[in-house]
Amino acid sequence: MKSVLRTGAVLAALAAQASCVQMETVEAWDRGYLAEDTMQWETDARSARLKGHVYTSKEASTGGAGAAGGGCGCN
Amino acid sequence: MGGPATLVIAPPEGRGTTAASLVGAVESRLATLERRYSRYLADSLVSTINRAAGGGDFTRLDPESEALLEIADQLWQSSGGLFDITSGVLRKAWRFDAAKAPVDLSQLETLQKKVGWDKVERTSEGVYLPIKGMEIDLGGLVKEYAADCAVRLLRDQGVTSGLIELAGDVATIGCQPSGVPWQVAIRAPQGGEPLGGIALSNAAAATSGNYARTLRFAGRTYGHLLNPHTGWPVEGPTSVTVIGENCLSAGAVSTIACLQSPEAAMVWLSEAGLPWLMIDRNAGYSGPLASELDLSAL
Amino acid sequence: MNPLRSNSAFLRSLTRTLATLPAYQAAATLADAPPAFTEVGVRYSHYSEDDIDASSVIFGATSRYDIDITQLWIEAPVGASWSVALDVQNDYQTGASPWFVGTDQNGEPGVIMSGASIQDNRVEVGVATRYFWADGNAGLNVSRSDEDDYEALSMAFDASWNTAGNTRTWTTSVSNSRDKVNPTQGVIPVFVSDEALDTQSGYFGVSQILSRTAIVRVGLNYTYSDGYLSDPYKLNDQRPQSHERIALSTGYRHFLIDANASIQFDYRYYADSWGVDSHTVELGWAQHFERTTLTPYFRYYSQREADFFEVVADLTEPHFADDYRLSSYGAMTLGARWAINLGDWTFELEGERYWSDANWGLYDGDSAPALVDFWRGTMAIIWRFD
Repeated sequence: MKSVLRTGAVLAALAAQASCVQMETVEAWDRGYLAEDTMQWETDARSARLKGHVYTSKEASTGGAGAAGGGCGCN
Repeated sequence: MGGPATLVIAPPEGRGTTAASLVGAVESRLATLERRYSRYLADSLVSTINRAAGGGDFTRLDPESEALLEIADQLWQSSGGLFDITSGVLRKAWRFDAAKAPVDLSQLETLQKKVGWDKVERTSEGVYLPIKGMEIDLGGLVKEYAADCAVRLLRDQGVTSGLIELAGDVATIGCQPSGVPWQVAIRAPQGGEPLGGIALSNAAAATSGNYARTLRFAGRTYGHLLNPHTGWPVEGPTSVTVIGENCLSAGAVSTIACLQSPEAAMVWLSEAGLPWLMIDRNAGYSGPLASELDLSAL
Repeated sequence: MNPLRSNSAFLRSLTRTLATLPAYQAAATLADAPPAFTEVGVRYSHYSEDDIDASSVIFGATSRYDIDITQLWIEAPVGASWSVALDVQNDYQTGASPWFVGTDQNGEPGVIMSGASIQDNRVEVGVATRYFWADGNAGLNVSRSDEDDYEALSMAFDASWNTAGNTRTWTTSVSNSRDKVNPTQGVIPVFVSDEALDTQSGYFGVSQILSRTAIVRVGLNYTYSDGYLSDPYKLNDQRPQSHERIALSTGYRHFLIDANASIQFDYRYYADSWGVDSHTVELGWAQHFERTTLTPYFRYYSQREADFFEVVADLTEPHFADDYRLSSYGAMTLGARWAINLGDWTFELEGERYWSDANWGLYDGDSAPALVDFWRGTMAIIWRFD
């Protein structure tokens, strides 16, 4: 777990850096492309949940971009 | 506003608005501005202000008109008095279409007493033109303001691709539906083939110039812009095109440039800091846009 | 520096004056708002594992799991700032699974499969509500899952808020799940009853708009479980009573204007207290057509075996497992999603194929004979109206 904690510390440092980075300003009316459904983190929350559920029950890893949800006796 | 208008809109998806309804909304907005600010319509605000000249009464202003007059004041100050919305009356002494003597000098002298933005009184009561016969003309400013209003209206409706052109000034929203920026042609002063095209995306291009109506008098060619101090047409560049975030800003810079000599205009344009193209009276090109358009500089 | 914004004194003062006119004021920043329409949807998926290689089986049938998953939902805005959703999911599962791994007469490991096929039905019902304000939104989700041998009650809370002119979004979530395991005596003899486990999980992440066509995000997830964590249907399975996991994830989306397509990239690094590490990379190309979108995608996964995993479990150790899902292996998925939008209706079709192999991983380890390949097909119909 030591490498885990080290990774966590690096990430925390990166997040702190993120607040200092100046990014290109994109006007509210110029967000058309970003609003496309294929530009979202999940095109559809439910279908992403289904996919995640399948992999979680067949692999040893969980988690990703959200807190783990409900449980099941998936074997 | 008296000039050709072109409107190109790609209606936003899934919003239930059609191109026709958007065009209708824009036309309605432009018509409202015309009714309010046109000096040709007897019951417009501008005509009301002009009729009250010398009568002693102030004309009340709404916030929009107040802001437009404030802009006119700023342009007057920044241009050393060359941009003056009271100078329109001087045109009565000049006849650009007549075969007779183009200027009536005694009339010009009389009219000059009625010119001067510094004479205009603005208080919380409104605005008052103290000399009978004084007139203000917001035509130039309102045309550019109208293009910006149309853009704002379309954006609020979710339009992400559109173009509006009013008598030579262009404002754009986003890019063309194909994803390529809007291509705006720069007209050559003598007509014929355009000089080139500039790519606009969420930008406006305003062109001012002395090429539309010209007059030859005593061996020189004059444009229709008049110098408020002398009453005579300005010996300025043939045309100036400026690109800015909005039409009014771009137009302010280009108009003030055209009221000066080409040498002074170049200094003004460089200091203003927006991309510009100037065509001087010898058809020489200068400015950052000249190299973009591959025009030879003199 | 925007070339259309000049710093000259003239333009600065002109811009200040223009700012008094509504036409020049910045458009209202996109406030977070509930969906403008009500959505009702149904999604059906069929998941089917390949038969296990006969040569890997010492005893038992070769067919493995087949699962039918049906999801039904309705999500609607309530007033100007809220939305509610109801989700119902049904999983119907049949098939056999590995019971334990032994050695055949040649000393080679082989799988003893569970006897006859099982039949198991699970129903999950979830209720969620979400609140929206100008700079963010927050949601609460409660769900209950029931099947013959397992029940779970979970609750999750999440919140996100925008900063930096709405170019940066911070997200956090926490969840809790209480599960009860009561394995059914059936085709496989079981030796436990009435066990329970608790899971707590938290996530923190940030997403940043890089340009009008690109966005990136990074996040960290921590999960802690304790209680009965072993698999009661596996003969040789004794796992620790606690499990700590972290997952570090990052993602990138880029819209290619000329191609009218989006590039989708996601990466996750996972590590836990059982010694498992993994890397997951997902790549998608979402191609837009006039009213359809086609998104082929690829996924690569590689995991390191758990500390206590052995191909044939070592029963002398305090913890042991021969579950292939805890072995070292790599896996690849090739899939595609196709969606068509017709006014208020959306239809989706998705299919993917998953292959796993001990030699495809980045980590060393012995190859578990029961590694699975599967395919999944999904179709969905969604109706949106207001």
